[in-house]
Amino acid sequence: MVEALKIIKAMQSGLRHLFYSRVTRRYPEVDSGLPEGYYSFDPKKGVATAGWKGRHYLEMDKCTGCQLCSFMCDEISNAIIMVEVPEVRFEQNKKSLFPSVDYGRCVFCGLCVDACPFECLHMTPEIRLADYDRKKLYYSPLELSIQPAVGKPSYVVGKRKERVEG
Amino acid sequence: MKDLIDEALKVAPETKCSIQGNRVKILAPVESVIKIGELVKRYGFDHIESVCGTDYPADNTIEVLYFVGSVREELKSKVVILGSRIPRGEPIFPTLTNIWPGAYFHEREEYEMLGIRFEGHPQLARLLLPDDWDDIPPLRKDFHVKKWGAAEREDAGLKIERAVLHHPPPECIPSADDFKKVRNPSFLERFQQAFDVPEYDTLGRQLFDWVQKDERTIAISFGIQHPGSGHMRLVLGVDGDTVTEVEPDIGYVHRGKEKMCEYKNYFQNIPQLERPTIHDSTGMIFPYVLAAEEILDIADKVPERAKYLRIIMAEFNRILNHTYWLGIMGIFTGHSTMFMWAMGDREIIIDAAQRLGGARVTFAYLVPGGVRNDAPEGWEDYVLKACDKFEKRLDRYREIYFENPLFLDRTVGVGVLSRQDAIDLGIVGPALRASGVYSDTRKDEPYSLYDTIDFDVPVMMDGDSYARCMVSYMEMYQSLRIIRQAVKMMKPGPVRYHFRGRVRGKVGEAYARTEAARGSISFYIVSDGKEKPYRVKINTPSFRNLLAGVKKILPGHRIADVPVIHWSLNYWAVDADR
Ligand code: SF4
Ligand code: SF4
Repeated sequence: MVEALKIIKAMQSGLRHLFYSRVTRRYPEVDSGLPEGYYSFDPKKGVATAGWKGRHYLEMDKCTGCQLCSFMCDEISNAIIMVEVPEVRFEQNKKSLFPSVDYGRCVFCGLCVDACPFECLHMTPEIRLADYDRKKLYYSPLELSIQPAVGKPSYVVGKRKERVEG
Repeated sequence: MKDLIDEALKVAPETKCSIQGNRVKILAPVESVIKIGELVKRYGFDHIESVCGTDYPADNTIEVLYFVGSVREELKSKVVILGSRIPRGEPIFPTLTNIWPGAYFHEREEYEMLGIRFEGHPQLARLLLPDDWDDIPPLRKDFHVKKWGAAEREDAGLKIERAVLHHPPPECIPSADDFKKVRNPSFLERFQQAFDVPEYDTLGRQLFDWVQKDERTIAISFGIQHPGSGHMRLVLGVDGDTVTEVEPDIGYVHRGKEKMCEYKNYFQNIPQLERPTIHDSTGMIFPYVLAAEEILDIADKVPERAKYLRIIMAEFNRILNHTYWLGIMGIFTGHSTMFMWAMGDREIIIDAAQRLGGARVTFAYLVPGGVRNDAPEGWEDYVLKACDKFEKRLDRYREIYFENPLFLDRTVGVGVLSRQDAIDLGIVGPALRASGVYSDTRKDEPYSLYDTIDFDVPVMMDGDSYARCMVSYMEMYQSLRIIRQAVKMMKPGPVRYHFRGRVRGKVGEAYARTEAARGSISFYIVSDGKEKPYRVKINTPSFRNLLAGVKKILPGHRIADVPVIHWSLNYWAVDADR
């Protein structure tokens, strides 16, 4: 008898949920409620700002092509590949070497952001990267330099540098 | 501890002893290891935490170390590291399973990984590697991961080159055709292959023989396709419906983490090390970070705020792990409401953690020297609110699950592990505390400011599946308590030690242990002064719990109870396989 009462009590506890609001979110329509800020690293202080670790955002006008991000990633997932983008020339980057990221391999650890000494690699709250074609997961430097629609940078954007013609 | 060393020196005068904080290292000649082992056991060190072999090709020796711990009040914080050096060409070591039965599987692992033959071991067989492994033991230094299999890959035509500088991007990616080049046997060939399987003395076959003691016994496989087994298999010997003997067969998700660590520097190791236990990712890298800090010589430079943030993240992970585990426990006991609730309520904590760590499961938040980033603005209030919300939900679990007669019937009195067995076999975590042992690394050897925080360690005396569930359940309340205190105690300040230049370790070794969600976890790191560790030994709670626990607990139970007992030990296959 006591047993039965306990079972009824448990059921009652569950039934109360009929009147609760829903726990799940209707995801694509309703915002997922993620933090807005970018994950970016301040090399002078040696700490990062909290933010969502999604796809990278590359500030091409600051990148010097030093490859430190690539060296860091080499032993993590080998996702960063340095490529030459001849059509983009900046004074600080004579060889026009920029990182590109293969999101088929990236584990979104953000250690490449920590490795960049020029504060030009960030991670953004853009996380919907899935695609049917593996090649589309490969983001060239130019694609990485497009600011995603979601989120806003939490760092102060410095003065933009001019692109060198030619 | 001085008296122990004196006694050890009396047994073998050429023993080398050193005390470093709470670690006592006794390096004895190989003949007297057993005698000193008995001495250490008599002194009060009652269980094996880990066994580690390290290969030193330069000296032509292998160092075998036993990490021996204790649950006694006065010895809890200490670890005796007992070992010896043996020649590399003829690595024979006397087994210590007679002194500490918990060494059984640790020794089997080292036998396989380094080729050390433990003389007198009851069943020295392979454990983790594939059955047809015919190369040298992989943790020997002359085994190179990157060279291994290169020839085979080339033969198969699968040559995926690392993208070279200045190449146009699309060529960097292996196309679908590249993968098709791997020779695909035709149907007929496969048919033939199925018939001429070479006669391996596979471990599986061996296990079946071991459990089949007499004619009444049938050997059956529980797993690896069984939904309740995880990525592992239990070979059960059954007499009618009753289990008589068990042999766990693990290694299906072995990734060679220990070897991989030798190829990465102290930072690059972090993302890969948290992969084995993604529910408890911080719990897994916590001891690694502590050990790495000792090697990098910055243990005292970690800022205070970072230590509190580490505690908060670790406790978040403890809750995430326990709720996940509780949900699956619900499924195993036929209570899918529990599963839904636990999975839904995890989101409250995940939301709080992701605001700090920037990801949902693998945060990679702890690094040597502190934490990656400071908490965002307004996060403290968010966390306190989330804790309140979650606590209310936890109270409801009691009504629907923990007092539910259906759950009680399945768990009370099922899978009893006695106190003495738990200690002898080196069981850790909630399983140990459910058997009436007050042992929690957070209290035994407080690390990272856990000693400033006021919390209790739930202990139950029964040692059955119900007690194990209850201990984990109550631990969640304690975790909330810790988080609340830590959030309030945090003061603004720096959160990370700023490294300058190349990060190199000092020559030496470090052994750090912490309390992960599943129990005490330890890392042993040897450094030779380079940027990368020389040897990393990972000792996970699942490995200690399941392997020692299941073999002891399961015999005598019905087959229907196997999943419940197995999961009440909170076993995670990847955690054990590494
Ligand atoms: S986030 Fe991690 S895995 Fe991804 S590119 Fe950066 S370093 Fe590599
Ligand atoms: S992103 Fe940063 S680290 Fe990478 S190449 Fe550019 S400047 Fe160097």
